[in-house]
Amino acid sequence: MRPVFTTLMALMIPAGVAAPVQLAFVSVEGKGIAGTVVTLRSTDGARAVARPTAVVLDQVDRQFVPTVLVIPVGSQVVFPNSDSVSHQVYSFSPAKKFQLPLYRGKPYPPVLFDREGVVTLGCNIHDQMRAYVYVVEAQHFGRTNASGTWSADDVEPGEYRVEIWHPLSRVQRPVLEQVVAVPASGLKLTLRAASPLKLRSESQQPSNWNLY
Amino acid sequence: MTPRNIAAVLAMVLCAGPARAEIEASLDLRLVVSDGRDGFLGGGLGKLRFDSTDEGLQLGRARLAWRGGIGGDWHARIDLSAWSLDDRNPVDVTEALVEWRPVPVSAWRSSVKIGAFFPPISLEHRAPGWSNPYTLSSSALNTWVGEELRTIGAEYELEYLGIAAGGRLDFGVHAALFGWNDPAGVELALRGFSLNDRQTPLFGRIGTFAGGGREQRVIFSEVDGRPGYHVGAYTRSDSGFELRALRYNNRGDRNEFKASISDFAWATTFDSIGLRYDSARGTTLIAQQLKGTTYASPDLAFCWNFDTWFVLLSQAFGNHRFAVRYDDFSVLQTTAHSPPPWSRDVGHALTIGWTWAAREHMEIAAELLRISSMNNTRTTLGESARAVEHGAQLSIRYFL
Repeated sequence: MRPVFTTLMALMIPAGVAAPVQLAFVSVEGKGIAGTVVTLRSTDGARAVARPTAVVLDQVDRQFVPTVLVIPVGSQVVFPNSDSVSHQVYSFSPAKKFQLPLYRGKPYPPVLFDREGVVTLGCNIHDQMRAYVYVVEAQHFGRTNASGTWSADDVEPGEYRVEIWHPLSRVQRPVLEQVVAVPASGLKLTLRAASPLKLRSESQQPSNWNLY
Repeated sequence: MTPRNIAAVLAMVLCAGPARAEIEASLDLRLVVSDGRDGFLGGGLGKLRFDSTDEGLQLGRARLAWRGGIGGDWHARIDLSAWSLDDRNPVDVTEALVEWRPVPVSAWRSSVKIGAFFPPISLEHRAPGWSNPYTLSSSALNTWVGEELRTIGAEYELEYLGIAAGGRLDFGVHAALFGWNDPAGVELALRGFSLNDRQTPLFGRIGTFAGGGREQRVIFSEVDGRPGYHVGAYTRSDSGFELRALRYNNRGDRNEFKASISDFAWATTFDSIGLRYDSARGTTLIAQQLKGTTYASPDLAFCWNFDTWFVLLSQAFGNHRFAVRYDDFSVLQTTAHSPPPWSRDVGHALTIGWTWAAREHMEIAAELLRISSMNNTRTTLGESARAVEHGAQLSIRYFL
């Protein structure tokens, strides 16, 4: 009954109104979890999703920078290599399989990410390099800050499916999904993990460590 | 290998793939304070690379390396180093190989190395040129790997990249066939363990103790025409653990003697195991053990058992890294014609290291090393068998 009600309510609100949304994602113990990927997807299939963008994912000191990228479906990512050594970027994730043969400096043409999902990037020369590209089809997305909060101030009121995913969660799909209604007055919501989130520790050598 | 030959080899490989070639070069200078006994490089049985006569400014290592793609999924690498101007070849090759390493299209990856390279034993040597980023002197275990072991042959590795596939573990198995490593073991038997950072170059020598005088031993030579092998496995978790094991057997036929190097094929076998943990907060823990046996000559009296282990703990603070390591080692002759005591070399060492990545192309490091050992062959030199040696080094390293 409630979804119908909220949908009706959403329909009554004139289009173009923007509401602020603040979402916090906390552990079972109530502690904010930083770096969590939040996506808000309207249940109204007719609404336009975020438009594709062009993004840079660099390689500096034998690490990907940034190590997590959230992009809309159809976005293009360019992979420059700012290191003095060559890299060989690849992914064999179902959402995007590709490879960039050994290179340095000038990047290859941008890579198109045209399917939703998690894409794990690696370097065939430096196995310790790892990055995640999360390709989403949604109206709003982002990552939580140090206190575990994400906010947007331009959310069109209506009903949304919230998906929570963490790149270190060892799963390739959302760890939490929930439908929420965003009223014109905005929404402030705290989502709590249903079970302890076992995040892997991304052990990395110091960036200036002169590794192979 | 003369400098001219080296220049020719380098020019050749440089031409192979200039578009994707990389040059690495570094110069490491040391300020040394030491009370070490006459060192093994000069024919003594001291355990330090720099003994009490070497105090002052010393060359740590000068290195020039090239690597690059040579077409398809093949890469090549050649590493040249100078350790001392007194060496037989002041500049020599430590590693030279081609590697076939296709980009994985699934979680499975195969790779092949052909040439001369280090067997995958050390969990300490994670910096370019098979160098140790934690302490200036390596553990007794990995010092021996650098001095006497090299895979001169081919190695195949099959890996499952489970972490990239969304799982928790990577694992791999590898096997190698090699030649030209028949004298491996001679240093342990005649000198015992040492803690230093030298790597015996492919065409080089180690000054070693033999029969009361200095003798330059050839380490990389084929004596019996019989290939050796090593097989091993590793696993790595997404939480920072790595476990490695390796079995080595050079299949030396100890009946075979090679006059040109005046040595037998040493029949050397060992097992090695190691655990490494890297935390997200810059803590590294490494523990390794290596245990084996070496025989030389048809006479079974020439048999030694060797066993060494170490634990290293390291913590990074920004651009600084501190490390402390405890080593334990023993080489025991197990049979001989004469009654005991037979040749034995036992001891332990404590190393404290500091490394500071001071600038983009400069690193400063310091180390305090104390080795306490009992080597009863020292009595033939008129020395006491027991020795406690100390070495302090300050290093400044420039690299490209």
